[in-house]
Amino acid sequence: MDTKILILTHGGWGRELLKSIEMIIGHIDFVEEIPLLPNATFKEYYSEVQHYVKSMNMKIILFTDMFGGTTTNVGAKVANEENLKIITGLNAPLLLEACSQLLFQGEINFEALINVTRSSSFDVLEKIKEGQR
Amino acid sequence: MAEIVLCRIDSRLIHGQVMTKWVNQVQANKIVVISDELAADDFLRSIYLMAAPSGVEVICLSENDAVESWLTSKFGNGRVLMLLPNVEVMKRVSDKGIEVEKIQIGGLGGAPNRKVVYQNITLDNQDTEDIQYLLGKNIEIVFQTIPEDNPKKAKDIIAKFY
Repeated sequence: MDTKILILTHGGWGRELLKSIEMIIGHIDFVEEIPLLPNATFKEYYSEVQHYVKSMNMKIILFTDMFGGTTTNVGAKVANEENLKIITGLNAPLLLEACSQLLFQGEINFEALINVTRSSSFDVLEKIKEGQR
Repeated sequence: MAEIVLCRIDSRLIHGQVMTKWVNQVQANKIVVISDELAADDFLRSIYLMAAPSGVEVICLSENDAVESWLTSKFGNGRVLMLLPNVEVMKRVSDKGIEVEKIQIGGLGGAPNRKVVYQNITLDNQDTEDIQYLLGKNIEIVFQTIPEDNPKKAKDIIAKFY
């Protein structure tokens, strides 16, 4: 596997999300997380993420939990400098899709990932009623 | 002349806590960030600008530009949330003329040489000296991460540091 998914979240819930995804898809060894801890500064977190990215001799894609948070601020700066792709709005459908792309196709289809994330939130009953019409 | 509705020292500058909690709490419509580093980083500055809630203007100024803007127009107009990355910058701009009555310390990082004094807030020797210096100028200083927390007086916190 020559691609790694690096997750940046407030407090480290990405690891728990990964466990949930593994219930569906089985063991995953290409997802890592660097949690943003409550008292880390922008600079401290930035150097942690940057160091990890530089030390990995493989493709990396970044997933962050929300735009406007330090996870995304730092992720965007590193991605810009190291020429990586970054998606914010991490959720179960995104991580599941990314893992299954890597498992079955061996590479990331970025456009497809973005679409999965974008279309993953909707009014459920409304959608079901639409389907019944 | 703008009104400074909150002056906050926060090493993360604009981030979730500031945008979801403090901007609403103090009804700010302008964020003035004072940081030489951010003023010199176009990319990072544009992330901060994009992430600002709608209706809130964000201005990133170097220390010197901030002092000049304060001395000439008191930051223009609006309800200003002033953000600084550390106590050292606060002391410098205060000495150069930016007047605040009250400072809130929200987060100063977690480097290994720093001591945790209240929740996740840390201090080192230099911060402690600078805070005492600012207290000596009759500025009220409190430690508070989010609005739901009780603000703690700097004087009491510093007593814990030694």
